[in-house]
Amino acid sequence: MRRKNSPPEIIKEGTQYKIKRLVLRYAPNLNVPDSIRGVAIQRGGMTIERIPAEELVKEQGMTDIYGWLEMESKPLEKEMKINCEGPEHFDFSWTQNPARYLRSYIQRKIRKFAEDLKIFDSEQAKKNKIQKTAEEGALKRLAPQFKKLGLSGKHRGKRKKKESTRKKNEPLRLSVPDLRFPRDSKRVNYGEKISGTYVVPINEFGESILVLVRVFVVSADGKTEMLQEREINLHNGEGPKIGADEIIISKKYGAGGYSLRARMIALEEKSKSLPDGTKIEKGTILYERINHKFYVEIDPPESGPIRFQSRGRDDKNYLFEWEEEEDGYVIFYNEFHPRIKPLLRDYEKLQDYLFEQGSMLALQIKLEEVIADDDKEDKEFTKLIKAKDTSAVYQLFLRRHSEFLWDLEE
Amino acid sequence: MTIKIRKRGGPKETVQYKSTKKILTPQDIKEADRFDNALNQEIQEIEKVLLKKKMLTPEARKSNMLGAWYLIGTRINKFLEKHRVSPEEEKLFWDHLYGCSALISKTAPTSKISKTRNDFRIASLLAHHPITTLEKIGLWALWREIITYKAFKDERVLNWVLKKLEQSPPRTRNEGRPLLKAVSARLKRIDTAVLSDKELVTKLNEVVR
Repeated sequence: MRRKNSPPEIIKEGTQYKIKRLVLRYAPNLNVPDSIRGVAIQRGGMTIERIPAEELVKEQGMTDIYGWLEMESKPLEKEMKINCEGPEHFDFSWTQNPARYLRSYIQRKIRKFAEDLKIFDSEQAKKNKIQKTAEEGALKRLAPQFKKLGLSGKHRGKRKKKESTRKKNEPLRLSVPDLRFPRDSKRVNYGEKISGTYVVPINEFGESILVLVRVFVVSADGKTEMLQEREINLHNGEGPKIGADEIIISKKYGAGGYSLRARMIALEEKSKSLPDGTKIEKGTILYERINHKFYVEIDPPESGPIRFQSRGRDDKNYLFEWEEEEDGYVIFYNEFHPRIKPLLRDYEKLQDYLFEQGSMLALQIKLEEVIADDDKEDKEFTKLIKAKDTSAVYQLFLRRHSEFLWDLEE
Repeated sequence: MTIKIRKRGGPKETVQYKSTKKILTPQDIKEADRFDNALNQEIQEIEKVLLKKKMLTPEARKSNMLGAWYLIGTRINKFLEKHRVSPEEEKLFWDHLYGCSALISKTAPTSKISKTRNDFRIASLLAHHPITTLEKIGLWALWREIITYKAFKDERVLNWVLKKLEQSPPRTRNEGRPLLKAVSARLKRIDTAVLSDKELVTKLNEVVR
């Protein structure tokens, strides 16, 4: 028998909800009686509900996992009792927070526990190339849908994007006013060019200053290519363009990530200091906040909120299912399903299928988030929940799905 | 490229192929195996030499820290000349070295080690300096620190610091630290490349004044 104890920890980043302990056990050949199967959620020393592990993680062998969870009394246990516990005290409403956070936490822990014990094999390495390419292609096409729904990776759901944390404009600074990439993303291929790869120095310091401006490209391995280096006496207002009009991507750039950077250095001492108190002397770095990434012959790293993963199971009821992860969701698709199986040989077909289904699934995921978080941002979803008319759900999904496909084709 | 990672957790050894590439081809796996074999051979060689030179005891204690790491760094640099590691996989490579030899690093660190604090990488950086320079300071722990300061990338700064340390050699790392910190703080917002030798030394002398 194997066991794992999770120490007290916060169950959801950004909240105060904390558990006292989670104990998980794996007893494969021990016929665990039905009455103690699953994970017992305890409150005040009593078991309120047991969630079967196989309900949380839909894999073989899950029925042999059992355990229990205790919560810290405040705020988790208290809020679970007030917001989520049923009137008879033998179940919780798992669609409400913090119960939803807790369920997703237990789910993650069970999956990790099962993976560590090799109860099932989730080796990514075995993935078929066609599937991987199709999954990535589908996700890329789904990106606008995720964006529209406010599903955006680490900052998804209710949490609004913070107001820009950008520092205030500094009196001596550089600007990159005209940088243009050949397409929406920051990928550039051989033969293409990035235009506007220069900086314009700006002086609002109140007096002229002798500076050195360097504009350069740094590759992932730290190699630096200087575009231009120039000494100027920077008067009030804007200085001359420094850098290059464009970078033509030739073979001298190996495939990989690069960044365009610039730095402005003082070449004389000044009696006046910078606003943050830094004394200006020869050598003082006045500004180095320019950093624009671009990717040669490769796509920028994925940072979407959702990923696909294949998982086959001989189960008629299962086509897709999803689980919450640390910073997003994973959508599993059943590669044994007769609808999906024939697509595995053709990445375009699989990609199209995942894309279309993914668009609908994203709507369902959004709906779940809205219910749990009482998110008022999306008016249509809020209205739908208030109306309590389940027949309207599919209509709304279909409408949004249709709109999305239409816009995309246009 | 791909790095083969072996993890020894409990009695079993697990193997993983890690790469920044999303899709691994059989060719990638083969190359990773080849690389891993060569690396293991090299590590075994290093162990042998260290034991023979009595820099390392069979109980995995380094009797001469600086000497041992210097040798490790030198050998790794030579290895890397023959077997290139792409910059994307470099971090994986340095991390992976911790698990390669129970003699050189007895226990793998439990928490993640950043690239700047990785002993093997530091050893590799130090091996670019002549051993005679290193021996003047002598303390591996202090060298470990020196090599990670950004300001000391300018050789003139490094040389100045070394000279100061030589004048009154610190017995422990902590004794040597205040000077390193002071120099680093003085040059924090300075691009020393635009300074002449004289201008730089003037600034540095302010630290010890």
